[in-house]
Amino acid sequence: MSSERSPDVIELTFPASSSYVRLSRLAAAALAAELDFDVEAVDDLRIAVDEAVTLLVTGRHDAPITLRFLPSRTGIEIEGRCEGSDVDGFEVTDLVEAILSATADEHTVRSGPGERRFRLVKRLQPVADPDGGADLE
Amino acid sequence: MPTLSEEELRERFRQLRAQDDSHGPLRDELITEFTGLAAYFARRYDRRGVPREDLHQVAMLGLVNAVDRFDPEMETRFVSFAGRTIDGEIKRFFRDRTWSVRMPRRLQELHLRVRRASEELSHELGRPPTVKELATHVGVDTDEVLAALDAGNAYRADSLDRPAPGEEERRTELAATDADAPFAAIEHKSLVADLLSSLPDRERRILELRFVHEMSQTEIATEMGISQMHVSRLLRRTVEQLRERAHD
Repeated sequence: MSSERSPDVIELTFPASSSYVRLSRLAAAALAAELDFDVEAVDDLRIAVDEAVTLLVTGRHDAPITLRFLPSRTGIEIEGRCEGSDVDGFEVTDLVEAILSATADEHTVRSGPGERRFRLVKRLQPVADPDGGADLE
Repeated sequence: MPTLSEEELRERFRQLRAQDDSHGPLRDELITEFTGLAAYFARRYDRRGVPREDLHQVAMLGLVNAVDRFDPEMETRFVSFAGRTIDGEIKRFFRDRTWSVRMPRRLQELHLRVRRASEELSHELGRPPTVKELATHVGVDTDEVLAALDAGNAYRADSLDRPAPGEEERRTELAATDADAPFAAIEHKSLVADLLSSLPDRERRILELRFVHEMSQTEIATEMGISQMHVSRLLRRTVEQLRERAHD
């Protein structure tokens, strides 16, 4: 990997159906594996992506979901969004919040009329530190 | 059957732990010593539609894990520690068979190999291996490792409405617990607590350690005496169950 080039951006767009949650998970896991995340971090990322994408998918709406994966030497950032007139807000329960804060190093989720978004960051951990060290917001 | 006294056994384990070569003849000797124990546990699960040799293999895997993880300074006797580990491995195997309807056998086998490799490497490296390290160790490419890992954690939406055999009973049981508590009506503050309280002890403990105490999977694995992969699977299944029920 050249350190000079601009960061890669991978986009994935799919219909708002829970059957594509797995696709999101696999894409995230594959990118994380490329970055040399350890299996536990890959697993965390999968849980986080699963949770976050499920938030976008939940409820009746037809707006497509777009995920942007931004891998870098320090980790991976994932943005998810869906926009459309039929998209309404979602509720971020304590459980979702607890899961995201434990599995991602940074996370934001927000929703409003016509949109839902999330952003996750998972950093490559120094080898000596097995703890994910999540940030609570 | 074991020919060593408890103290001799602990001494062997101390020697093994002191060695650089943790996969040498001493390890083999300890494994061989307790092959009968593995066979005993395998037999207990006989006649459940699984070939005996498969069960025996799974039991042996449990034994190997037990030998690799046993701490001779623990008060627990090796036999009971190994028994628990082997039994856990077999139960997990049965649980994993919930895939069998839709998952190729090759992938299941790969999953078991990857899981074992992950244990071995974690032990060797003192940290969880990377996916690439696992792939090299198992001798497959990273795609296959990812597929195997995802397979082990399979809980995706497409299977939620078709509980696997054996799972049915537990789901019904879980559903019955919350019959009087429509979650939509519960304050979010207490939602997690309520959901948690209906889980089996072990699942609840794992969830608490992970999401409340924010311990890593490896730390939880050490604390609970199970493998990181197992923690991973239990976490994901449990989270999925909770989510499913919270959305009901």
